[in-house]
Amino acid sequence: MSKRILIADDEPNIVLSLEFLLQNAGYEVATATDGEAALTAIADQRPDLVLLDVMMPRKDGYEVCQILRSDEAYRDLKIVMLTAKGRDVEQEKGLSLGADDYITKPFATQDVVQRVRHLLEA
Amino acid sequence: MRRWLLSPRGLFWGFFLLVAGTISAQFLVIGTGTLPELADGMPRTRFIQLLLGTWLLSLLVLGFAWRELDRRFVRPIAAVAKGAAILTHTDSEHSLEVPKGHWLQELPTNVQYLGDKLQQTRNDMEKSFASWSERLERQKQSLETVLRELDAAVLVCDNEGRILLYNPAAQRILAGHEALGLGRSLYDICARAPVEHTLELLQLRRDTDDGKAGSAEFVCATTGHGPLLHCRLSLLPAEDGGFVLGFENAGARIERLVRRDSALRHAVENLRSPLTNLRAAAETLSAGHAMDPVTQDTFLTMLERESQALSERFEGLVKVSQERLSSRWTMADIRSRDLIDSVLRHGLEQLPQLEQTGRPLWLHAESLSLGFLLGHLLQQLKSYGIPYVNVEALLGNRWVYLDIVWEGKPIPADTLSNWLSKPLAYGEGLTGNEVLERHDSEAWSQEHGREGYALLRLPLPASQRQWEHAGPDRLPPRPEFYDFSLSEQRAPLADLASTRLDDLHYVVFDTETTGLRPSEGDRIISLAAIRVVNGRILYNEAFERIVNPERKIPAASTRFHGITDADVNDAPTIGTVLPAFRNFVGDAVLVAHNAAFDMKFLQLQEANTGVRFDNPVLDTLLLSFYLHDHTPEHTLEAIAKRLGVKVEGRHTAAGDATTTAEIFVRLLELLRAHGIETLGQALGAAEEIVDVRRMQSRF
Repeated sequence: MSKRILIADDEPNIVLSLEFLLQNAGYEVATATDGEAALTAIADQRPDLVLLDVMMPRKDGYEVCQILRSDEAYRDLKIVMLTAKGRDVEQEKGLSLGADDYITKPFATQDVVQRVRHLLEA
Repeated sequence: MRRWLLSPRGLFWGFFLLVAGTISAQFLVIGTGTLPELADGMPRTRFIQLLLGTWLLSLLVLGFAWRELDRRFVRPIAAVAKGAAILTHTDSEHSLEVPKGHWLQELPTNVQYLGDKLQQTRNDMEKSFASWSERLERQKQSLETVLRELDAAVLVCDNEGRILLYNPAAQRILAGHEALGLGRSLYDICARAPVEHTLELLQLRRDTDDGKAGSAEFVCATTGHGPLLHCRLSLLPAEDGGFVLGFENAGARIERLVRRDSALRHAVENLRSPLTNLRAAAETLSAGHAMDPVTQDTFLTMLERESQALSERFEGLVKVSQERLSSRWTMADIRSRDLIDSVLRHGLEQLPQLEQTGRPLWLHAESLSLGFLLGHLLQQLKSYGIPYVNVEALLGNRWVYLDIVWEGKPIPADTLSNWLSKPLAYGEGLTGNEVLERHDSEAWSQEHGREGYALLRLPLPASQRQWEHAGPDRLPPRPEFYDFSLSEQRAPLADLASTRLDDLHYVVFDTETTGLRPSEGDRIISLAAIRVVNGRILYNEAFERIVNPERKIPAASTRFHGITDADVNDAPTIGTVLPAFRNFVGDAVLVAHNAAFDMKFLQLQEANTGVRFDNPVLDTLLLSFYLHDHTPEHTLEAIAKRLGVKVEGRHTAAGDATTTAEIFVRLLELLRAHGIETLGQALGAAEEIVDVRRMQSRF
């Protein structure tokens, strides 16, 4: 059974590319466009990995991440943060709040696929 | 006895004798004149008895009257006079000792009253003098402390550019500059033209603009390999009052700015080419031209390659601009503990109980806005139900993490971001997020490594100071870093010989050598000197160098001074040290013990170093001979003992130079007492001794 991935980002163009690429790589992909929708989708669909944009309306990525990590039920869920701000300190904040990886925009699409694969196969 | 006779009481009783004598003489005359013509009816014996009786009686009455006058007037007046003298001329509290029963009425009481008043006035004056001088001294000490602790470098110079004051910050920036010293010329340190130009400008401005000169900035170079200085010059108010020069090392700052500017420009320029290519390729593709698959593929590859290049260059730009952000001018170094303490001192209500642990670390931050943010966060934590927190600073690569730790759960991210979006009670209603942004930072709450604990973390820029060694302060607690009386001396250079010894600057020096024969190849291995200005030894204006003699050091000489071949291996050679020493000496008078010996070593190096010492030279050995010709003992120890100088570090160049300087300062005082006041006279005295010695050695 193929692994499931949720993409949570309010930027439709990037969602479009990532969805296409990850489907091509053999994953089952769902999308959400804000923090609360992402939480609902995760509860419903139980994905294996979530790509979380930091800047989202109605709960930002950090908040979603913290909520997920405080819930034992999602212990195995992998979280990858996406952000447009490339500052070291934000990366650190994401990782401190429990993210498994952190990707800065702009990114090489191949890089995202590789990191996702790495996390899901580990 | 004679003194008593001449005293008022002596004279008083002298008068008594005179009057008594006169009366007696009258009685005698009356007696001898009347006796032969005495009527026969009166018996002679009876007459003589009567006469003698009357005589004695009048003497007795006279004596009694005189004694009473003595007791009631003369002695009391003498006592009052003596007491008044004591009251007038000494400070002691004195009570008049006036014999009882005098007839002076209120005089002693009034004199005593006047005396007491005088004493009281004196005491009051003394007290007020003392409190004034104490206040002055306190102010002086505060000023000294301010100058010493001032982070900005300051020099004060007189109009000729002579240095009257420098502070430790100036010493740090001009580290190792031999010409920095009291009474030395500023122009030995930095270029003359920009300073004089600025002075002229300010003087002009003062003359035309109602005496208001303000200050002016300029950049100037230092001599040697010293730093570039960014200076601010202001005139002192008096007509020829000199000027104050504040400065900082501009080199590092300018370099940083230039580097950052060029990096930024470069990074922006770099975006242009991939952008152009991308746009051209996208437009070509979207124009709908018929295109064979190979060409189309080429275009697509190009799109991919160029967008990748754009991403990379964009990262470069981000990095450069972040560097720019992280060194804002509003930021300053502050210790984490001081920051927290300042928040606590604000007396904010509703703070949790707070304890600080760990070593304080240096931050580079905007302490005021950050203080408000911390206060705000602590208040929020308290109202969130956290009564007790522990604040700890941790060191990361580029950050200092300020962790507020408590027992319990982390703060939910939405609560925290709510706290951070509230305007602070500071300035223009800045929010916590904005303060964090200024520091290029973010805050978050997470679980603590310790079970059951959580923390709120504020990563803050770490200061470079963290990694710098503070280095021992070279200045003693009360350093001699200023001397304003220097400005009252006129330049002595014109006629050295007639210059007073007190007005000259001296460099007292000593060398250690490989042996005693300079002309047979012995070399200097250690050279130390110290400056003496205005009769003061400037202990922090010292010069000390080990010199590589470029030959083996004989064991015999090592026993003497303790310097071995290993000690000098990495030391500079005389070719490097001597020019530096020349700079240190400037135009001062050279002083050494047995100066001829040391000068010989210096002069032998003239040819290969190109450094000449044509300064006047004074020799403490010869001066001691001149002043104390009663003894043949004129070694450094013997003179030191004679003059009460404590000897330390004998047979090290620095120790001997200091001892020689202390001896020299005392010799200067003795020379003045011997009527030797100018340099010419002192040199003459030394020559005299040399002549005497030469004569003696001939016999």
